[in-house]
Amino acid sequence: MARTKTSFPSPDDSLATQAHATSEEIPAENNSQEEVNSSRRKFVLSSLAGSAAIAINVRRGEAAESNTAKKQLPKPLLGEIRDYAATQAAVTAPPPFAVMVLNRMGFGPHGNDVADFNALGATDDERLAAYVDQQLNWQSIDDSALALRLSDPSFAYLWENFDQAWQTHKVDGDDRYGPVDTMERAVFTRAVYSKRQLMEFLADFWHNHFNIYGRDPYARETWVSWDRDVIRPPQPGNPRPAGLEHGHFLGNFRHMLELTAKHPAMLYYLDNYVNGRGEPNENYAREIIELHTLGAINYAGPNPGPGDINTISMPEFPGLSINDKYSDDDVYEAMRFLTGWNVEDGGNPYGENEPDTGHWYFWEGWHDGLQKQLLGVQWPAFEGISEVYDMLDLLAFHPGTAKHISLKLCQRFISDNPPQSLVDQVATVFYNNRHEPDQLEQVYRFLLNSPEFKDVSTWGSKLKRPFEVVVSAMRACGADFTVRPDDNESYYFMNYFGRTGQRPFRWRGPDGYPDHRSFWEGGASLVHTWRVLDWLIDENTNNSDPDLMPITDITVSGLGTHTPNTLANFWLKKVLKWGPSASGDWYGTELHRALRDFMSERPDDDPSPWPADYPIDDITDNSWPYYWNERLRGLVKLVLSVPEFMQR
Amino acid sequence: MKISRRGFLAGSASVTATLGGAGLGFSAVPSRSPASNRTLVYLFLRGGMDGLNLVMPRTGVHRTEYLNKRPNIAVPISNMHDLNGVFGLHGNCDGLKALYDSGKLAFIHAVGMPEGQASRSHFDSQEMFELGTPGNLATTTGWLARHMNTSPHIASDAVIPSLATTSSSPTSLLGDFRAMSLDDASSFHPNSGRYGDEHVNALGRIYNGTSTLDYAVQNALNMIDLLQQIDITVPSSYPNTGLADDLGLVAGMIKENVGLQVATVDYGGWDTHNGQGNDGGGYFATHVGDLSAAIKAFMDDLESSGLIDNVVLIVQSDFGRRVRENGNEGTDHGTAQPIMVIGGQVLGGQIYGSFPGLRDSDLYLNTDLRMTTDFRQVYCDVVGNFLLNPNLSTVFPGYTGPKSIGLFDTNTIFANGFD
Repeated sequence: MARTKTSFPSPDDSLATQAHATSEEIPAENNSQEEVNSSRRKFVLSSLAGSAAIAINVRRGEAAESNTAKKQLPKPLLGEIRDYAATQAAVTAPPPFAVMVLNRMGFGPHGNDVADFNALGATDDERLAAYVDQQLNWQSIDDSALALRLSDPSFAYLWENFDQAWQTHKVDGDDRYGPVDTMERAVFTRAVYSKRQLMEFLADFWHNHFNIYGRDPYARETWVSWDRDVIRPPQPGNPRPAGLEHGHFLGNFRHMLELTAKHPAMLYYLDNYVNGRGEPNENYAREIIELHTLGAINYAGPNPGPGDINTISMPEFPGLSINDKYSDDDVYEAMRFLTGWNVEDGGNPYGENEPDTGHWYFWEGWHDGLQKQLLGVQWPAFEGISEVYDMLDLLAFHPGTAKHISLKLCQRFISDNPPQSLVDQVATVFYNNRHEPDQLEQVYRFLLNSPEFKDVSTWGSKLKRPFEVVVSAMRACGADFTVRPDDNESYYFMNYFGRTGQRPFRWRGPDGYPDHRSFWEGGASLVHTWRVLDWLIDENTNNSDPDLMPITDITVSGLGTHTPNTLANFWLKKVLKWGPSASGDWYGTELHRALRDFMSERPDDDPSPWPADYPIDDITDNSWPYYWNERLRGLVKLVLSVPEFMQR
Repeated sequence: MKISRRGFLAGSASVTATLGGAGLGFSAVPSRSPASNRTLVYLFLRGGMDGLNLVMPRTGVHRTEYLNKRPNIAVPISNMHDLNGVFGLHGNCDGLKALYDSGKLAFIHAVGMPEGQASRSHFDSQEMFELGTPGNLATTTGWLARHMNTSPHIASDAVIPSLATTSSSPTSLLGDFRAMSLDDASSFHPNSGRYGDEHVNALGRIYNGTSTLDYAVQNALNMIDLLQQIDITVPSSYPNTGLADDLGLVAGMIKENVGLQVATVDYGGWDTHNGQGNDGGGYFATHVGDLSAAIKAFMDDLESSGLIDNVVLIVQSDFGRRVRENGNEGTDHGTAQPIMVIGGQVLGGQIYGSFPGLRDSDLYLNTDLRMTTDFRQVYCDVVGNFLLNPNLSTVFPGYTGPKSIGLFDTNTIFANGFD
């Protein structure tokens, strides 16, 4: 199948391929979907009763303060395709440096993070450099609070090694989905409670870069291994295989690429385990070039013309001219290099009796041994397995790969459209260190200390994805909730979160969850994200179990005088960790007025609002007619929904 | 222009009166063109439906080949509706048979992408169908979005011109920033408690700017308002399935006259590599029966509402599956598939296209039903002759083939439309 370049203006064709999440599940999955959908009928019946309330929701005095101009969406001219570039919502002002950094290289401030950051040096540059060093030196960070949460017995699958997991979940067929279901909860618990925030941020990035649908066969059983043995740096006592010691997201990209290529999860997901001489399958060959290494930005199309491809030289291939871009011919050739790779899964369809270990092996008899050519470099016939390692060298060390991955990192850390000058500089660091054991660590250190990363003028250009919104909200509000297996609340949480469209490891396509704001601006995703926060804040408030989000406790212990004015200001400061006035308050801002008015609105039978400084005698009380506690929780839900929090 | 949230609220004193059964204001403004109150519903069967067990040969050499190549999973004559003597329809599809017999359902068999551009990958194939550009995954807008952005018939007062019944917009609507998504109305509100209305008002105040994020929030708030103000109760005539609920939601929006021009619906569960059911029974039979029943309920609902002439439903999948069953009494990914086009104005009761045959020499790569009709020929027919959008070269860039397969009597449509 050939792919051609788009024939009309493409706003963001740099990383243009994006798959739509699909629901082609096995029957069992469909049943649960239908249960969810069938509740619609109940909703529409009950909603009729509420419709009368609409008419009395116009508040007096509001019009003067708010802009009532009607919005008009861009109307395209007939026959013209417009570039609907997504744009950020206005924010009150950029936050202090520490708040920006903690949102850009982690999941937002938690506890005393801002004060801790500010104590790291005398200037912003010093503090940032020290913080980056601290985060990259991850083993020196005490993460015992997280370890305590992960020591819950329900996380047992996290501690299985690869062979145990394969035997238990694949060979014995016991709880096949257990490992991936454990991981989808562990990533929440880690992202919320780990003090190694950069590690969790990077794990999320690299899981998406080498995306696999986690519920595929061989992935679901080995998902803990994929995360631990391929993506993350090795724990002490659990080293990588010889020759690939530095394969992880702080190490060397070439090593990491080979680990991904040989893991049964990837071999199955992109069909390379059935790619053989005479039975070719180009699925993985295409994606290793298009997504994992050179990227679509270095694609010259199926039928490149003169000048579309230029040649470069690489010290690894002395004296040879190497193409700077790839075409479909390179995909077909890469497929031939990759023939003969297989998984020991006890079910070889070609007649050999193989063990059932899940280990990768090379079957030379199934390998296309004839001569090959890739990116202009030629290989003689019958080189055997060595030629595929040459191919991985060519792809991993190619300067196009450095540019592609640097672009994606800058997009993740800074903005959807980062300055090309920075991308080029980061790519140079990536390329110059391509043989170093700490190549990737050096790349992050450079990027995170760059002037572009420090530039507060680009604050807000990233729209947080649902995972980031929910995790940062739990951090901001001091949630006490270990999302874990075998737990009813975690089950409901995952179901609610799934409706946002970003349930971990459930993106079907190999390109990973999109990282540009236009995808996540679908209204349903936003509403369902806010609905997760609604559930987190309300859960257990009407029973004797501890609240998952201690909103009431924080309010009572942190604020003396409770009025609509003080509560709105308190929670804006609490969640956003700053305020625009000299004293760090939000009084006088549009945002504060909107939230204050939410607090001061009277019940429906009396349209005049409470005074903004109306003293609320008991914020814990949730009885008729004021329902103050429920209103307080609504206030916090709103604070977590403002553009200043939804963007970073 | 759309009715903004604030527009709703400012006029809310009269909202109830306006709504009095007549829909949301849209009907008060005379339609400017016949196609502005027409709706295309695009139902995508995710996973690759085994089309040869939906519509299959019932006589002759191809029947023999069908039985030989599907010794376990072939649908027997005894479990089959007779469509036209030569072809049969799976026996669980009573609803589809009734729509076919009443002339509202057309099958187009052996539809696909041009040879060499098709893919057996779920993702690539779905993407290319939804982008409308076979062989090109780099296209940045979906075909439905390009229709929405170029059609002269999108009503300016449409409240919901395009709707996706999924959590984020599908690829077919990529680039249509008016598209609203609503997958699960039961929790479609940011505040489940008693301050929900106040919460929505506050969000409207906060997101009152002109960025695309502001628009997205405003669209979502409008949807919340709309859900509170209209009755989209799915009638009890619909079966109790997720697909029926989604189609019932779309029908409710159509009946409420919100200006719906396109809607997308997904129905998964078709990736039948293993044990799909022997002798016309089992999992596939149940699943295709559910499909048939939901579609029938949807079309009946529209017919009894007098709206069936304004709606066309396209039903398609990622691809067809292999002609030969595999070793697991299932079928692997193949190429061409039968597509259904259903609606009051469709010249149904017929099988369109050209059936390429099931003999070994007939097959594509010796394994697949060969594609004989480019899917864009079908889509162009619907876009050009039902939705009356003349900008087919923009909706399907690079497509130079026939623009119609004859699904509509264009004279009739124009005559009725301008009455």
